[in-house]
This record gives sequence, C-alpha cells and structure tokens, in this order.
Amino acid sequence: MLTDKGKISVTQLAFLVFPSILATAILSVPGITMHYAGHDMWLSPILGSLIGVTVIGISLGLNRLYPGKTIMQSSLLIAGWLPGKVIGLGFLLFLPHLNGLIILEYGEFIVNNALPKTPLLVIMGTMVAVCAINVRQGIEVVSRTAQVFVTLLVVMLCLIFVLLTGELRPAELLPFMENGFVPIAKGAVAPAAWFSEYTVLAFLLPYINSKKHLGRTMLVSLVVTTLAMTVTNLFCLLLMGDLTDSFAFPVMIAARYITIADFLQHIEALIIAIWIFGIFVKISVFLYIFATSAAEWFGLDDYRPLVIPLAFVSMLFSYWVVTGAAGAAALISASANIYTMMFLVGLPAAIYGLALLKKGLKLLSKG
Amino acid sequence: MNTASEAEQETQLTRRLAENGQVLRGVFAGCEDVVFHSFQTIHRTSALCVYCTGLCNTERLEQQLLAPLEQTGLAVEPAVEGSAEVPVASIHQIRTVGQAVTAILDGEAVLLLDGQASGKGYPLYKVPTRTPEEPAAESTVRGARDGFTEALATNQSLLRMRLKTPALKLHSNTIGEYSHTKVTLVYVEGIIQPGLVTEVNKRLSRLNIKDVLESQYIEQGIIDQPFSPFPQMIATERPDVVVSNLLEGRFALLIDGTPFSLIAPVNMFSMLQSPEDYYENIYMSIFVRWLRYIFYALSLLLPSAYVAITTFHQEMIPTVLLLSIARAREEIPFPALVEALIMEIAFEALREAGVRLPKQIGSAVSIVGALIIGQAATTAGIVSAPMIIIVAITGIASFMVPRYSASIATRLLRFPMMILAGTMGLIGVMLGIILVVIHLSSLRSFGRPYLSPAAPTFSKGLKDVLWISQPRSK
Repeated sequence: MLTDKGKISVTQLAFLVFPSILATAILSVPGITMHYAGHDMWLSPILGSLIGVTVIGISLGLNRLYPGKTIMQSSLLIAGWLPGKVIGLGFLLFLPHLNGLIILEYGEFIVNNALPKTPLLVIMGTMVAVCAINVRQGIEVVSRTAQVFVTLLVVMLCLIFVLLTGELRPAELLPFMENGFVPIAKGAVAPAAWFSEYTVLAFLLPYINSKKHLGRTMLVSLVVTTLAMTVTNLFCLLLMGDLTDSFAFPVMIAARYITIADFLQHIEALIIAIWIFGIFVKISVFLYIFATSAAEWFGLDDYRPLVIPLAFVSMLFSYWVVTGAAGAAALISASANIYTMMFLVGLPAAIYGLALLKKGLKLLSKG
Repeated sequence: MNTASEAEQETQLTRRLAENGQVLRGVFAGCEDVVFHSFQTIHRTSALCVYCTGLCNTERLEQQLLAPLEQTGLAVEPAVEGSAEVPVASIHQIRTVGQAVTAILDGEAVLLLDGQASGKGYPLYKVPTRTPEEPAAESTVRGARDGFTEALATNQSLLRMRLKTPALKLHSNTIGEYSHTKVTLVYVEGIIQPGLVTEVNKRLSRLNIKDVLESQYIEQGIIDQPFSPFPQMIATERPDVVVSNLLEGRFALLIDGTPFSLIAPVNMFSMLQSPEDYYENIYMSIFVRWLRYIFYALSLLLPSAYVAITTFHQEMIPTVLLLSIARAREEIPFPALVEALIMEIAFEALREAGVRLPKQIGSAVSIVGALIIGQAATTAGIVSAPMIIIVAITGIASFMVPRYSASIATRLLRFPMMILAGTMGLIGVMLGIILVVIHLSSLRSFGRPYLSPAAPTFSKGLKDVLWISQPRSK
C-alpha cells in the first residue's frame, strides 16, 4: 500500500531526479573535486557516474522483483519483518541528516551570496515551509512544480555556459593527468556521493504510471546529469584555473564574469534566485521521501499529517548536523561522503543482493 | 411557484375548469402581470386562457389562438389529444398545476377547457431581446462581429449557425430556486471527453442558489477550487470562441439572462489566448502570444522585482541607470516598497473609478489620474519617476491579458509579492513565485491539471502553447 495515490510519468520522474542531484552538486562539486584532482577534476564526475549506474541498476532491479513497492516496503519482504523494520529505521535516521545538510547548504549559500545580514533561521525556515506546502499536495504536484522549475533551470544553465564561452582559457586543461589516475579517483568520491542520490528512485519508482522506456529514460537522465556536472567543472577550471577550490561556490564566481553589451552585469543575484528553484525541488523530493518512508514505516495510510512535523525535524537537524562553517566543510568532505554512500548505495545494494540470493535459492529448491 | 407547496405542484388538473382556475388564481394571487382570460368557444365550451402579459406575445395570441377559438371556429376544438388545432409550433400537454405554473412563467399561453383534465401550453414567447452586437470587452480587428445576447434562444442559434452537425448537443437544466434560470450545457459528442458531461450535470444538480444573475453565480458553485484567485472557467461573449473550444473537447454553459457563457475545462494557457491568434498571420500571432506570456509575468512581477532590486541588489543595475534612479529617488521620503504600494493602490483605485463612472465623466478620471498622480506627485517629490514608469508598464501588462478574469489574479497577487520583495529581496520574490506555481500545479479545472499541457506535458497540446497549431489543407 502506497501512502500517496498520485501517479507520475517517467518523464516527470526524470524531471524530479535531475535537480535532486544537481541543485547542490553544481555549487559544491567543482571546489571539492579541484581540491583532490587538480587540473583533471573534470574527469572525476564521469568516474563518479559509475556509482550512478550502479544505484539506478539496484533501484530498477528491486522495482522489477517487487513492483509497486518502495524500498521501505520491499525490505520487509526481503529481510523479514524485524530486520526489515531495522533497515527502515536506518533510512529514517539517515534521511533527516541528509535533509538537514541540504537545507543548511541552501542557507549558507544564500547567506554567503545574497542576504548576509538575514538570520539563517528565516532563510531556511521560509524555504522549508514552502517545500512542506508543496509536499503536502502529493507527488503529482511535486512533479509538476519540478517540471516548471527544472525547465527554467536548464535554460538558465545553458545561458550561463553560452555567455561564458568567450572567457574560457583552454590552456588550463594542461598538464593532463599530471599525477596519474589516483587523484581523479579521489576526486570522484564527492560526485559519487551525489550520484548515489539516484537512490531516490528506489523510493519513487512505485509512483510511475507506466514502465515504458523506464530504463532508457533513467540512463539518459544519468548521462545528462554527468554531462552537466562535467561541463560545470570544466567551465570553472577554464575560467579560474587553480583558484577554483579557494571559493566555496565557484559557479557564482564564474557567473560574475558575465557581461552582456557592457549593460547586463552582475547577474549573480538573478542566478541565485533561479537556483533557488532547483534547491526547492531537491528539498521537496527528499522531504517527500522522508515523509512517505516514515508513514510506511509506521504503517499509516496517508503521509500528509507527517509532513509538517518532519519538515520541522529536518529544520532542527540542519542545526544539529554541524557546528559552524568548519563543520559544514567537513560534512561535504570525504568521511561524510562515505557516510552518505553507505546509506544510499551500501544499504540498497545489500537489500538487492539479499533479494537476488533469495530468488536464486527459490529457483534452486524448485528446480 | 414558491407560494405553491410541493404537494400543490404535483396536483393533477381536474376535469372541472372552475376548480383548476381557482387553484391557479390562488397561486398567482398578487401577480398583476398574469392575465386570466375566461371565454366561451364557438362550440359553447367554457375556456380559460392564462398568460403573462410581458412574456407572451399578445398579438399572436389574439390572432392565432383566441380568435380562431372564440369567433371563426376555424380551429378544431382541441378535444382530440395531439391534433394540430392552431398554427402554433411545439404545443405541449399540461397535466399538473406545477407544469401549468412553469409554462405560464416561461411565457407560454396556457389554455384550459372545461371537461378536460389536461391543458395545453402554446409557446407564444415575446422575450425582450436585443440584436447580437460586437462584445465590448472582447473586440477583435479581424473576426466575427456578433456576440451573445441575454436571450438564450438567440445564443443557441448563434452556435447552431456555426456548427451544423447533429453531434452538437444541447441539454438544459433549470437552476435557481426563485429565478428558474435555464442553463444549457453544450458539447460536441464524440469530441468531448467521456464522463465529463455526467460530471457537469452532477455538479449543476448540486447547486443550491436562489437566482442566477450572472455566469459567476454558476461558476463559483461548480468549479473545483472556489477559493483560488485564478479563473477555472473562461467567460466569453463570443460565439466563435465557444465553437472553437467545443471542437477542442470542452463544454460550454449558456445561461439565460446573461451574454456570458462559460467554458471548461481550461488551462492556464487558454487564458492567455485570444481568438484572433488564429485569425491573423501566423508569425504575428506567435509574436503576440509570446509578448502576452512575458507581459503576463511582468504584470505579476515587475513592481516586486523593482522593489527587490533597488532595495537589496543595487549591484545588478548598470551604473548609469543606477545613477539616474538614485537621482530620481533622492528626494523621495519613502522606501521603495512603500512607494510601490502607494502607487499600485492609487492605480487600482483610478482603474476602479474609471470603470464605475458614467462614460461622460470617465475622461475626467484619466485627466485627474495623469495630472495629479503622474505629474504633480513627481514634481512634488512624493513619488519617483521610475516608479511611475513601472506602475504604468504593469498596468499596460495587465490590460494585455485577453481574459479579464485572468488578470484579476495577478492584480491581487501583486501586493503580497511586493511585500515579500520588500522584506527578502529577490529570494522573497522567488519564494512567492514558488508558492504561486505550487498553487497552479495543484489546481484543476474539471479534473484537468491547470498547468497542462506544460506540466504534465502533452506534446500535442504543448505545440499550441509554444506556437500556433494551424489548420492545414489536405
């Protein structure tokens, strides 16, 4: 039993997933990958996308074995009632961490770039409230708002890239692979953590109305996401060179390079403003997953009553996950990335492995 | 009818004329316009003809009904049921008191004969009507010049004239406890989405109102979300608009007594389409349509964007422009938000005054508005000139919306948007936009998502939103 009656199309699902990965990735990934991979940082997202393929595979596989069930529900069938509930509890304890982190990232981003004197609580609180309203309307509305905003987002992203082409210095690409392959792999950990967020599919796949072209669309989505991340990295590198990792939000610095006809300058505020749309979709998706998962775990019929309290919990966690900016930096670094991947890749992979094992045993005992 | 109890309505007419007459006289006690004409036919049968003077064509009544019966005997006495006695079309049988009352109030002449338990209704209407004129609110340069009138029959004929097919179905409901207004549901069979007709009829039957003076009375009662500022039905006076919408699978409601018909299910984009988009050169139409989309967004966002940028993000304004804005704002005692609120409210007040005033005095309002609000306020240093420009552009933008009811939403939402802009800058504006989009996404017009065909996407419909789908010759 799903806790939401709404149905969405595969395209809408792709529109939901795209900003769920990219909205914060574009802000943070260039700096982090630069830190580890240096000049070759644009290769890191491509390597990281392998995790994306894995996670999409796991999600689709689980959905094929247990159609119409989210990972919360299928884990009960796969591992048994009590272990399944424990796994679910794991997700429920992890999701507020992730939500809190995303909300905090948004707050820091706005405070740093647009409203330095406004208290964090106001910035994050208004956003979470808006997302909670969105989530309460159900998956159909969440995906429709995503469609509207992602279209705007993509147009704007393309616009930034096109307007910046004149400023690029391709020489920054050299020396290529100066220190071999290892730094690239190290740099790939951060994008991989973001790609692991494709696990949202395991929670959202039951809501699609038809499985036609499902795998293909998801792969296209992965390619587009990888491409966007690579291009962003490349642009940051070609614009700022080695300086990239000294900025918290390199893309915003890149946007400052834009001038059109000496008239349209300093359009960062506009870019920040439109970027809010992407983050709004991302927070909505994760809040939705949090609320539906919690409702499923507690065995409720409807997830809606949980949305506001859980939004509040996420809000609290955004204060609890870190202490100060130094803590925030640590949380999007290596150890935190591994923590994220443990829940978003490791746990689903274990569940899927168990499911395959069970299926194999069943086939053996039959035949 | 309300004076008659339910039981009385169901009362069958009796064979005795005097009794029937008494009952009807009781029902219509105090209604001076209802005439009871007692006479004897040429065959010496007593008869009673009841009609309403204003609604019934007395001249035709005299010539076609009373004269043949009373004097010439040309008409065969309507003793045999169903025989065509008098040259009047669509005569119908009346068996109960309720039917008789309804028929009389509809403008029919009701004839009761002694010794017969049923009467006859002769539809000799004379409804006060005007000829179809070009609708003032929806004029086009090129396109049909006729518009709906207050008379339902005329409106129906205007539609039938354009759709000569038996697939065009009309189905009437009577709505309004006191007004008994006829509301005709119109649709094209085979094109309309199945199930929609039953849904509309269900919603209409659930309506419980006293009267229907305007289409809004119906609209408010049957739309999915009555508390939304966005219109969920198109109100139009143009028969060509109704026809083109019928052919797109929508239904229309024609309402007796108002020239406005209602069309549904609609989406956001149909509010921004004018019939003329399809009547003019295609490139011009695409250009105008996109202009309209942009200005519709401006009519909501321009004042708040100005407030946000001048208050929070001055760096976005190019230096030269910033200097001239700063110079203009130097003397202004108010912050940009207050300035914007004052001007927008003044503009809305002017607009309302202009609509309500008689036409002869109307021009005075624009003189006062332009001179005092525009000229004097800037010279006195109360309002800055850039703000006047912003308000003027916003005003023009809201006039550009082809559907008046759609511009209401942006006019109302402009104010909370400005307050958000004044408190949180562009972030506030974005939060406002997000809230509006959430609302639009959750809105449905008769079950259809309001933002379709954009979200959820239907590629076929999207084509008509982004450019124009034109009829092609085979």
